[in-house]
Parts: sequence; C-alpha cells; structure tokens
Amino acid sequence: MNMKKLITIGALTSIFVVKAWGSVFFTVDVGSLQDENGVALVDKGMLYLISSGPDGEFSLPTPGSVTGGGDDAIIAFWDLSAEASTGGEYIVSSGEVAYDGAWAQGDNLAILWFPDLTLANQSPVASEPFGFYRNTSVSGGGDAWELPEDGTLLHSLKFFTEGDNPLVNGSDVPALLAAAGLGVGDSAGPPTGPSSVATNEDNPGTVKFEWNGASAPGGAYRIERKLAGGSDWTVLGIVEEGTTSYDDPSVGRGKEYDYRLVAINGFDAVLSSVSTIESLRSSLHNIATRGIIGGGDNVLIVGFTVEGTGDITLLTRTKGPALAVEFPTLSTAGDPVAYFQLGAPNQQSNDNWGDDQFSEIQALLAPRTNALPIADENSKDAAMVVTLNGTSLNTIISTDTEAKEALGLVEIFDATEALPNDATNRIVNLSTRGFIGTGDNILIGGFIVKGQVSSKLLIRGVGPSLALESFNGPVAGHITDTSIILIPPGAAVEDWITNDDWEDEGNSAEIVAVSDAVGATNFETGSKDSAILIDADPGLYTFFLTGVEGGTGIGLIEVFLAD
Amino acid sequence: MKNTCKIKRLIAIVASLAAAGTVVKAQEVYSQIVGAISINLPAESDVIVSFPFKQSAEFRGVLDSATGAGNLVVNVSADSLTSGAFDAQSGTPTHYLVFESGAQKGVHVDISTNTGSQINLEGGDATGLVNGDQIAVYPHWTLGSAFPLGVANEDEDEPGLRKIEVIVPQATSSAGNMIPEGIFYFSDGAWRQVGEGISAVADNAVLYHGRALVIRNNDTVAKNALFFGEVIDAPIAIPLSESDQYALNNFIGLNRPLAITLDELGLAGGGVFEETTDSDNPNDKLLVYSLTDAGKNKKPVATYYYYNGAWREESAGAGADKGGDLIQPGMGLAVQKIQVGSNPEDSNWVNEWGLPQ
Repeated sequence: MNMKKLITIGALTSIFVVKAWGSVFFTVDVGSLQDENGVALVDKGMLYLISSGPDGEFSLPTPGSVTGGGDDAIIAFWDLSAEASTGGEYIVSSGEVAYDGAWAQGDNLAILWFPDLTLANQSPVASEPFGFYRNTSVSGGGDAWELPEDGTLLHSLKFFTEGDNPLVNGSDVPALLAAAGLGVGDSAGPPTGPSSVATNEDNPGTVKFEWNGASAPGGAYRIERKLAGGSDWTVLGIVEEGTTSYDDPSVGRGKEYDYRLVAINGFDAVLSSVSTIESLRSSLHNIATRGIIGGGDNVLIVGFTVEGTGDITLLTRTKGPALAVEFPTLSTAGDPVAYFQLGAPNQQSNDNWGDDQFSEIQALLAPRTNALPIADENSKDAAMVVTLNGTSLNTIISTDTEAKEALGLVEIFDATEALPNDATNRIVNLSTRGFIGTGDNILIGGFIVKGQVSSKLLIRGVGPSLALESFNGPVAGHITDTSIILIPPGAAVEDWITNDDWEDEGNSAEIVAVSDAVGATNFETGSKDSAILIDADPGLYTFFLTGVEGGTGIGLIEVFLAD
Repeated sequence: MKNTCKIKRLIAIVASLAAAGTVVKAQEVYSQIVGAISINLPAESDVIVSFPFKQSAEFRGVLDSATGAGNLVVNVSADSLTSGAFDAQSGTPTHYLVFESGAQKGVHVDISTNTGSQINLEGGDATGLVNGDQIAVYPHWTLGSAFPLGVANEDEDEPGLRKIEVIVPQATSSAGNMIPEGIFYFSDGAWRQVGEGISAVADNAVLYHGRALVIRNNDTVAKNALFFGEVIDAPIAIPLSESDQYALNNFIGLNRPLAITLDELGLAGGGVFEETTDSDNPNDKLLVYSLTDAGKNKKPVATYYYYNGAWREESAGAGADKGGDLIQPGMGLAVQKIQVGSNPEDSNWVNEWGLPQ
C-alpha cells in the first residue's frame, strides 16, 4: 500500500483591481510521489505548486532556480520532512496563498517535487532529480490544473497513479509519472507520438501492437484498445518509455480491434494514430455421430447453424453399409435415406449416394474435407452436397428403409477451403439427436475445430430437458439423465473431460452466460442434463453421450462455437 | 440532570415543509416539536444549507447570577447540573447555552466547562442579564449526530474521489467568497476531514449553531440530504461581524423549519442591518443562495438591501417591495456587512418566530 500525500491549500487572495478580496481554495491529493529511486517521499523533499504565469508555459528548473526564471511563480511550497503521517495517509500542511501580479485566473498550474531539496536548501544543482506534473489531458481526476475563477469555493486538483491505494481504486496515470524522473538542466518536455503504428497476430491468439518514434521523457506509454466502430477505449497496460511493442493476449476471436498508444509524461499526453486488425477465428468443420437409426422419434437428426453472408458448401453423409465395412461386427443400417430440410420438409434427399450428385460428392472428399471415400460406388449409403447462402438453421433427418433399428453414422462437412477469417460463412453450431442405448449403441461422435486459434466451445448433452416445450419437446421416450465424455485432440485418458449434471463443475453461471450469448435455451436449475465449457484448440474432438446408470432414451448432443 | 419541558405539542414536519399533523398527548406528557426536511442535492452541484433544527435541550433552568465579560460565568441552582457534562473536548465545544428570555433572549454562547451549579462560557457578557432569565443548554450538532450514516447514506469507497463533501466555510470572509474552514466526507463508517488522514475520525466535528454549510454533490446523480431534529420556535440571536478592511460576508443559517418572509426576519430596522440611503450604492446586503439550482461555486441567486422602509432586490430595482419574498427552510444565507471606517463591532440579529397556530 502506497503512502498517500494529501495537501490542502487554503488561499486567501487579494484582487485590488476589483476592490475585493478573493479566495481560491485548492485541495491537492498527491499520491505515490517517489524519488528518483522509486522510494516514496515519506519524510523528505520539497513540494511546490507553481503557476505558469501569463504565457501559459512552464520554464523548467535550472541550477539555482526552482522555476527556472521566466514568468513562472511559486504559489506555495511544502517541506515534506515537516509533515506527519496519519493512518497511511501522508499529510502535508495547509497554508494560504494569494493572487498577486504574478498569477491570475486561467494560468496553468503544476506541481514540482525535489526529493533532495530541503527548506534550508531550495537551490537545485545541475542534474538535481525532480518530478513535474501538470495534468492536462492525462486522466487524474479532479478539476482542471489551472487557476480558477476568483471566489471559487473548492478547486480540487488530484494526482493519482495506477494501482489501488487508500484514496482511489486505481487510475490511468502511469506510476512512473510520480517518480522524480527528470534532472535539472537535462532535456525534458512534452511527449511525442509515434511516427508509425502497426498490428499483427503472427502468434495466433496474441495481437502484437508495434510503434516507432515515440518519446515521453520521464513518462510512459499507455496502450489502449477498442472494438472498431466503438467509442470506448480500454486501457490494456502501461509500458516504459523506450518500449516499441505490446503483446495483447486478451483478444476475442474474429473481432476487429483498433489499437492506439498514448505517450504520457507530466507535461502532456499525445495520441498516436490507430492501427486496426481483425483477430483470428476458428470454425466448426465437421460433426460425425454414430447412433441407432430407428423409426418414429428414433430417427437420427443432425442440426446445424451456418452464420455469415456468403455461400457455404456442405457434404453430408449417412452411412450404414459403409459403416459395416469398417465395423463388421456391428449391426448397421441397411439402406439409409437422408432428407435435408431448410425451412420446408424434405427439400433435398438422397437414398443411394451414387445416384444423384456423384461427381460433386467425389470432389468434396478428402483432402478437400476430412470425408474419406466410400469404396463401393454402388453402396446404399446416402450422401448429398448442399450449398447454402447466408445465415440459416438446418436439419438432416436420416432413416433406414430396411428398418433394421441398427447403427448408422451421420456426417456433415464444411467444404470451404478458405481459412476461417477469409470465409464469408461458417458453421457455428452442430448437433445430433438420436436414441441413446447401451454398449455399442450409445451416441458416439466427433467434431473438428478448424483454424489457428482456440475457441470457446459449449458442448451439451440434452436429455431431461427434451420434455420441455422450450427444447422443442415434449419428446416421447427422452432419456432422463445424460453424461458426456469429451476427448480433446490427443488427450490421455486422465485428460478426458466428463460431466454428468451441468451444475456440477461450479461454472454454471458461465454456462448460462455462454448459452445466452449463443442463443441456446438454458437448462433449468437442478436438471440432469450435461454441459462442458472449454477453450478448444483446433483439432479433432471425440464425444460419448450416454445415459447414467444404464439409462436409455432419446438424447441430443450439441456443440456451440461461442466466439 | 434535571430537565423541564414547557412545550405541549408534538408536530411532525416531514419533507414537504408543511406541518403534517398535531398529536396532543395526555395532559401531563409534554414533548418538543420535531421535524424533518429533505433537501435535494442536484448532481455535480453545491447546496448551501443551514441546519433547520436543534437537538434536545440537556438542561433548562433559570439564571441565579452571571458575572464576567468576555468569558461569562453563569450560576444556576446548586447541584442542578452534572459536573463536567458540558465540558469542551480537546478545545472543541460540545454544548452551547441559550438565553431564552430577558435582554439577551436568543443569544447562544459556547460552553467551556461546568460544575454542578456553574457554567463557564467561551465569550458572552452579563449586560442586561437578571436573575430568573430562562436558560437552556443544547448539544452542538456534529457531523456524527447530524448525519450518522453520511449525507444521503453515501459511504465513500474512494476517499480521493469523494461523491459527497460537506464544506464548512469560515464564519466570515471577504465579500463574495466562501473560504473552507474544513472539508469532510464519510468513509468506512465514519466522518473524515480532508487533510487529517483517512483514518482519523471526525464524527465530533461541530456544525455550529446558526452557521451555513455547503454540501457538494460531486456525483452525476442527484441525492437527498435529510435533516431531522427539534423545531426552534424560540428567539434566535445570530451574531454578525463587520470589518474596517473590507465588506464582510457572514455566512449564517436561520434554523427555522418553515419558510418565512424577508419582512419576518427582523433583520432590518433594528440597527443591526445598515439600511441603504442611496439605492445606487447599497449598504448592508442579504445574499440568498438557491437551494435548487444546479452548479458548483454558486453565486447568490438574489441580493437584497433595505431601502426606504422596504426590502429591495438588486435586479428588481429600488421601487419594488420584496418584503414578501421567502427564505426557505434549510437555506443558507450571507449577511454582507459594509466596510466600516473604524472600530468594527459584532452585533446580534434577533429573529423571533413562532409556529403558525
């Protein structure tokens, strides 16, 4: 905790021109004043309140002169060694000062502190360390640093620096400004802004803001950021003069930011030009879910949301016979049919993948997407190529004409070749609804996060909530208690992420916030649905959605891209 | 301590400034009149106020004798007081004595010490006092007793960026200006004084009887200050000072719970207020500060002088009788005494007022 210095100056002044005695009263709250070594000035040094005089400019101290000549004038001064500390607040004595011919309303004010001067020796020598502060555009709170109108009851000058202290909860004024960082006779003056600024995200997830040519003698640089088009600048940090870059790891995904630098010292604050960058983002590339393709409510349904303005081409497949080739011991669907629905039912459908869009489908297989070829061009698996435009919510329903009530694999792939930042449309939500059995018949699947940066994902296992209208229920035969296992890319077993009930992990408030943000209906308190919230690096994720204690029924796995 | 009560009504005056009701207790039960006033504090503004109420008297009696000048000694019946009960603490008075009848009715003087039968005052003189004059002793309002939870319950979490400040101006100052005598704020459950350390408690800082004070609302939203206490319907003598150096402003509070007209002030015509003989060059002035206008460092909203047998207001011209203009309860005032050639003297403006029957 920094010692605080608080100065009160009562000023009784005489303005004979107007045949009246005027009064100006200052309250100067000075926090964290330090000597040249960064040591708080608890019991030494001299402090001066000075006026610029009519020219509005401050002469700097010179050897032998605190004010350096010119028309600057000392309004009041304090011997800090004579003051007492009270309860963490360092008190400087109050005193009266008077308007006279040397200063008048509108004159600029500044404080000077000399850590090594004393009441007996107020004559600085060459290179004598001192601090200087004249608030103009630097945010320090309080009134303007200028002599107020005659008769002002309480003109309150404040000087607080960054960091919490007993008087304020932080400030945007760099702590460096409270140090006696200048030397008598040395070069000093207002800061200069950089000649150029630039940004990049060569290190994905961290924006580097760079600049050249700035200076702030005795001061520092404040780095600020805002959303492009917004008006509220956020202070990211304060760096020492001489620094030429700042790393910002706090960027969101796919957002356009403006960056600027404020060069600050005790004389002034100067803004740089603005550098704008769109941060990297990721997208959901694919979901594949294996489950039983039944009849009635037990069909397998894939839902997905695309968001953007341009075209997006998707490959969807529902595999039964091809799944049997991969897993010959499993009971698999004999002849799946897929129906794509956008707004209207069965807008597009396919029974056997080689019948309708053979060449288009072939073009979208690996390496264009992660879809591996189906060896038998005459198999009864289903596949479609769907091209969408703009933002839409879609479903694909898979059935089995042989009604085997057996396993199938439903897949959807984003065939966009561009990187996520360059794509005009992307998948932001994927889901699969199906019957959750036991053993091989649980819902198993995977999804791929595509991009260069991690993204916040919300993965939910919906079961009991399918009884609610708000979840498009009631769904007959829904499962009553779900559990999710999520396997991140390459994760060892001990790093698998599990969740039974969505409130178990102590992050339910964040889950609610993210659900709100992505437009997902929130679970009710106490429900036995499942949810996992992760910062997901790009890669392939595997999930298992099961019933608890052998429970079965219809469930829904959802994956939301939250940024 | 032996108290006597002579007022037989209990009236609650709440917020609207109007008497809200009268409750007559059983015949043998007497109570003072109590009231409360809420004053709006506009955002980013000063409000110059006076405390319109007093605290309960801690002693009522009659004068046995009085001696001395400059530091008056008042004697009362033997053993009628608790010795030391009214003693000043660390040089700050805690109580004041009021002469409630006789030649000095309304005059109040701070108490330095007391014994069982004697009260030693900080000032005052025996002129005109006679045995049997009624006297009373009141505790001073302090910040802690007047605003125990802060003004508008504002407990500052950033003492360096105070939302509410109570500025106690010097009692007098050169014309046109207030000079703070103390600046206070409420933080961490207690009153603090700027410049005295953020841990030092200033709950006992005195709000002197009859003095104006300034409440500064630095916040961007309006707030309300609640004043509560007993109604003063006895005469009030307000000391006024003058100077041979300059015109002198006396910042005063009238301590009345209802609005009264200028004609009811009793300020003019008694020799205390220098009447104007040349309307182009007014002598003494009464400065009135708005209770409702927004803004800091307020200038008077109206300046009155007494000319040709009536109150005049500077902007209205010397022909308009403004004696019916109202001084609102809680309003802070300044009496500007014109510079005198020599021998400046203090005087008492006695305001007599009673609750409407």
